[in-house]
Amino acid sequence: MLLDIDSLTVRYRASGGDGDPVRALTDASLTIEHGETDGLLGESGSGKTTLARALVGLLDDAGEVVRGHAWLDAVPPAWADPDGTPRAAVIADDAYPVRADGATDLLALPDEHRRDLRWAEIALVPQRAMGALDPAYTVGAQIREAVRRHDADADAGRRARDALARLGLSATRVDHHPHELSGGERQRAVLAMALACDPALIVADEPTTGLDAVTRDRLLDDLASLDAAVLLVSHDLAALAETATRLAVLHDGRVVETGPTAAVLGAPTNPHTAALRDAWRVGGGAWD
Amino acid sequence: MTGRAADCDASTASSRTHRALRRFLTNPLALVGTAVLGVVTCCALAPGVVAPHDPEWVAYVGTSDGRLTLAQSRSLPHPPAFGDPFFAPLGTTASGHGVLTELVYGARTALLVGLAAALLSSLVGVPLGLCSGYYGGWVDGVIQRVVDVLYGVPFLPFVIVLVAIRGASTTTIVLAIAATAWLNNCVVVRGTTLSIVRRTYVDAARAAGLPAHRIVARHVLPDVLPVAAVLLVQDAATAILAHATLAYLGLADVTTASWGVLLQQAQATGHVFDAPWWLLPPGLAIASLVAAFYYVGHAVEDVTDTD
Amino acid sequence: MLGPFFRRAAEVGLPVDRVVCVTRFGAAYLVRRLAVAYATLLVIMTLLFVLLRAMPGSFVSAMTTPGMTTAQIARLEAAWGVHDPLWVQYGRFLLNYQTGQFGWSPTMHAPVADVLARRLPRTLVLFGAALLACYVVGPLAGMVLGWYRDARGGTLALAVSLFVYATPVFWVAWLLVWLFDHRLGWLPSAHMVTQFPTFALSPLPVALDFLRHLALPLLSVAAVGWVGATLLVRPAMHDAMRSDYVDLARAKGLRERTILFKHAGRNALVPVTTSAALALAFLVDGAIVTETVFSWPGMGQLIVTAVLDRDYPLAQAAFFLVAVVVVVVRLCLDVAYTYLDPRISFGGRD
Repeated sequence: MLLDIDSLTVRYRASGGDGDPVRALTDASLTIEHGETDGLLGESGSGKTTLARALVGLLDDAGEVVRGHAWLDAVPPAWADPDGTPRAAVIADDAYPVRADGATDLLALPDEHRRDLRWAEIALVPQRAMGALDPAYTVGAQIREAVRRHDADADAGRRARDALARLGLSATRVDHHPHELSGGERQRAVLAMALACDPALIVADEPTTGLDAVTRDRLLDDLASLDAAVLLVSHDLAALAETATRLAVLHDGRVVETGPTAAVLGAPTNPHTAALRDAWRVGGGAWD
Repeated sequence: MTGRAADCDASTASSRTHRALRRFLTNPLALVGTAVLGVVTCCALAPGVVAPHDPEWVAYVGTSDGRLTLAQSRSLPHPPAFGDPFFAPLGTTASGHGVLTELVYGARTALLVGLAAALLSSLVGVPLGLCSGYYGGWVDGVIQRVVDVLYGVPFLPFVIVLVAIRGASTTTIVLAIAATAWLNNCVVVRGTTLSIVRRTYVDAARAAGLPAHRIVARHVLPDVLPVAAVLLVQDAATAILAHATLAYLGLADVTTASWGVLLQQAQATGHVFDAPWWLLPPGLAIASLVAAFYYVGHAVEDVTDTD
Repeated sequence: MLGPFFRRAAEVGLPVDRVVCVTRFGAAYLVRRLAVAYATLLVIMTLLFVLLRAMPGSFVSAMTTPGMTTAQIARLEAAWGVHDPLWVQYGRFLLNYQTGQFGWSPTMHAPVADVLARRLPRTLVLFGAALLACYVVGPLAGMVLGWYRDARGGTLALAVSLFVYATPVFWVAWLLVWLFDHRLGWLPSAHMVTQFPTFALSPLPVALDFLRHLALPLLSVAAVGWVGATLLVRPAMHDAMRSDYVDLARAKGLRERTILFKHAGRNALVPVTTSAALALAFLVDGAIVTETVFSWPGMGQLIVTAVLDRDYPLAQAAFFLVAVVVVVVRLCLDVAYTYLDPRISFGGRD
């Protein structure tokens, strides 16, 4: 198992300090296998982005993880041997969240080590990634920066060009600034940047928003064909139906349904899932 | 419908002001700045009450017409003395005047110069900026070209030349400072006005045929006033610093008590480095007053920005 | 405006990208800025002309000494063209100034142009060094202050910075002189070079001596001036910190310091050049004052002494030259801005 999320509960403190905190996620549990393409479906406000950001420790200041675990099949480089196995000392240490089988609880890691795992093992591609490239640097420079951060010995330039090529962007894009690329190209560039460090899991938050149909389809195909596991977080049922093998449905902060995509959409046990599916069907959707 | 919209606007405006005021009163910079301004204003309004002596007071002889003995005048400038042989908490200058007394009486000039120059440059710059932003077109073009060109005039050299020609009176200095400071007011107010005017409800008001001054008063001014206030405060700060600098260069009115002249006298009599009680207080006073203006301006900016 | 030309040239195979990079902001923009610069200088020349003639008494009278005969005075007046019609005087004045003929300085007993040529580089060195110091320290401080704005001591740091900005430069100069010259004896506090050097006159000691003399004037201006850039960068950091690219940088696992300087900071630099005009004004004024305090033999000190000595040809030419320097530097900063913000494309066509 690549990622095992267990009873994750997140709440947001109300602004101004007064008022009760808002529960954004309650006892959310989810598993992801290596190489699988999974979907996390939910309407806006259901807690999908909260879950994605909580995993990598990027909740904003008002958010806090109340309880839960997120066991990722990877060990922070500081505590791992070159081949990735955890050192005996860290397994024995009860205070440090590494298990004997080499899984680490992302939520209990100190910030410094969690930062080492970001992008290298679990890459969150945030919402609005199209606008998330730094306007002051070239696309290539930003990809190389990510590579060098996690693997000082790698040939960053080659990895950057290869990653761009994987997503159908020409090598010339390496020297272009973000404003010289179209929206769809920028989205693909960010995805390429995620690939460049060869993570085990890519969490893509609403990657298809704002894309035209052709670019969207292409992006979904690229995501599905990756070796890495993908967690596709979206309200776009059509995208998930086409791409995800397994689907989890989030409603009001709770996971209300999980299972293979066909089963969840074909025979939903939960009224919310059914409602979402019916709305999509009315719009002409089908998943086979 | 216009009436209701206007009421809505008015109520949100006053509640906005209320919130802004509350935030201002809890802002530490605002509090420190206002406190310092308060102290300086007290000194300016009632120097006789605050200062330990009259401005004519001279060490050893007080306000009488006596002369100093050789030994006494040799002891000037005198370090701080608290009763023996006289009371001067910050010591005296080379001519025997109490530094603290001079400091208190100089507050009036500092405030006057600052506020006068600031008001003048605002009175010129803000309306021009409003016109430039509101009417656009050739009005904007002309005003902007003029501003663009005048920006190239270097401030201090201009003031130096002007003062040298017309003589070193406080009025001239205030006029000279205002003559270059209004440019910034105009440009910033124009920018704010432009961003407001572009909003659709202003278009709607114009299309409805409302006269320009009503549109400006109702829609534009509430957002421009805080910006103008910040600029006013910054202009005052700049003016006070400029006046002090001119005094140092020997281009200020030496007959009026001011902090800059106090420092210049220290230099003219060659006591800059051996009378720290003379050197430090006026400099600190200038810095404190100017910083107070900066603090208040910053606080106003902070408080209105987050709206 | 020149777009089609460049496209055609590119098709033919000429190295257009090199050329285009240099004129990144387009010919139209450049021409506009040059026109404004020229107009500014014309206005300044007119201003000087008017100011001088607005003085009480004939301005030549200031140059006459009591011992002059009427004939000498008449010759002086003829040489200065005092009796010609005003517009003729104006035209001649403009022509002279644009061809670099600034006349003769009565107090320096030398052509004004020579005096200026000697003094200008000294001010440029001081001014340039101060500009560099302020624009390196200032933005960095602004980045740090903006990043840690809500941390404990963030407000205090801002308050201290504002207080520093509020101190008069000449007063700071005196404090520094007291500390470094009178107490510690490390740095000299007057002039540009040691009057009676006891060291060998070879390049290295001379250069060191010059640098030692430069240190205090530079420090005086820079100690106050850096805050200007800080106040521009700090609010820009506020926006940068909440941007999507900082979020992505965090998601990439970059270290906080890298994000602070390389991403947020770099993008927060953009407003610095647009507001640089004001900072420039501060530095020019600061240089004038500092030169006076330290008797640094540059343009600033020249303006002050020339005005006080009533040497009008020298004073007005010095003023003019300072204005020219400011205009040129502003133009350079306009160019720098386009390089700093990569979103500006050629010429404003797009």
